[in-house]
Amino acid sequence: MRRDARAMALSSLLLLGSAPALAASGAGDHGNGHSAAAWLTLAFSFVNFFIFSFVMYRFAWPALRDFLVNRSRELQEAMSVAANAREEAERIRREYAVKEAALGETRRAMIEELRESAERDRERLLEEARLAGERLRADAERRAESELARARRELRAEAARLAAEIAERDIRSRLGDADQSRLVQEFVEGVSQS
Amino acid sequence: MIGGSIARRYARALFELARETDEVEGTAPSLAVLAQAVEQQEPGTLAPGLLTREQRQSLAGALSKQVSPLLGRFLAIVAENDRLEHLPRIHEWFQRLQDEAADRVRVRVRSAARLSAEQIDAIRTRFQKVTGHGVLTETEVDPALIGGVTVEAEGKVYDGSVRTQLQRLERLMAGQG
Repeated sequence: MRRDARAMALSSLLLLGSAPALAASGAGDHGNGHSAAAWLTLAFSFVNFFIFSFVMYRFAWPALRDFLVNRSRELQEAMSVAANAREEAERIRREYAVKEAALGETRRAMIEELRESAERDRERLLEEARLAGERLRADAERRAESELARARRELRAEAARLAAEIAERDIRSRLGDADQSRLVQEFVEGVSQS
Repeated sequence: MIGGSIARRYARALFELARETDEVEGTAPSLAVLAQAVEQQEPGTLAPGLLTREQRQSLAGALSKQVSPLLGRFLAIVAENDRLEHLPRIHEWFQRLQDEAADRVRVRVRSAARLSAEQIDAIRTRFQKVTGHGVLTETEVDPALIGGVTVEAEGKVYDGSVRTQLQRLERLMAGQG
């Protein structure tokens, strides 16, 4: 970098230095008096240019160089920051890509879970309906059995009542004094045995 | 319960007085008649607080004419204390005390047909053995029994009636036995 700066300064000096000489060669046709003055002017120009170059080299160059170095560093830093930013962006992009992939997976999992849940609900509802149906059927059967048993009991009780009534009438019509005495006798003996 | 306690106290007092004067056997039938007279009244007729003191004394005075002086005085006290309503229960307790003193129990014999003296005697003899006390029988004819007898003694019922046997048979046929 430093060598580039020096080459640029030297090139500038050569260009500036050749300008008076070229001017003097153009004016050579006008006579010798003019020739001396031209050389003097050329020398003065050289000196002048040399002083100018020295001053520039001595005072402007460090500032220019520092400026260029700083600028170069800034550019490098900016490029580094840009590279970092690009890497960061790339990282974020990859992260989001992963997340997106994960999101897709999550979505699929959710859909699957929802589907399974719906399936479980359906099976549960079907099972509940089946159980409710069984309960209803069992209740109906139990009620029917209960009604049947009650009817049987009532029928049996009625038959027993009628049988007892018939038996009572029959016994009353057949029971004589001798039977009454026998019953009393049996009672007395039964009490004594107990 | 309170009525029973009151009746027991009155009965015990009357019984002690009757025993002192040797009037237990004479007092019992008169007391039974009074108790029966009270029982024949409409329920609540002699309830405490319903009759005035004069009305009660007048009633007791009228009843006293038909009973012994001892029972007449007792009746006056009962009327004064407005306890005429308790006379049936007093009679029951008097009978118990009488039976206890005589070492006997009262058995109630119900039969489908009238019992002969021999049958009653047979029942009395059996229940003397069963209870271990002397037995006083009270008989009653109840045709609803169809046949046989029932005896109530010392709070227990000995049932030998045809009606109960038929009822038992009916329950067995009905599947409730």
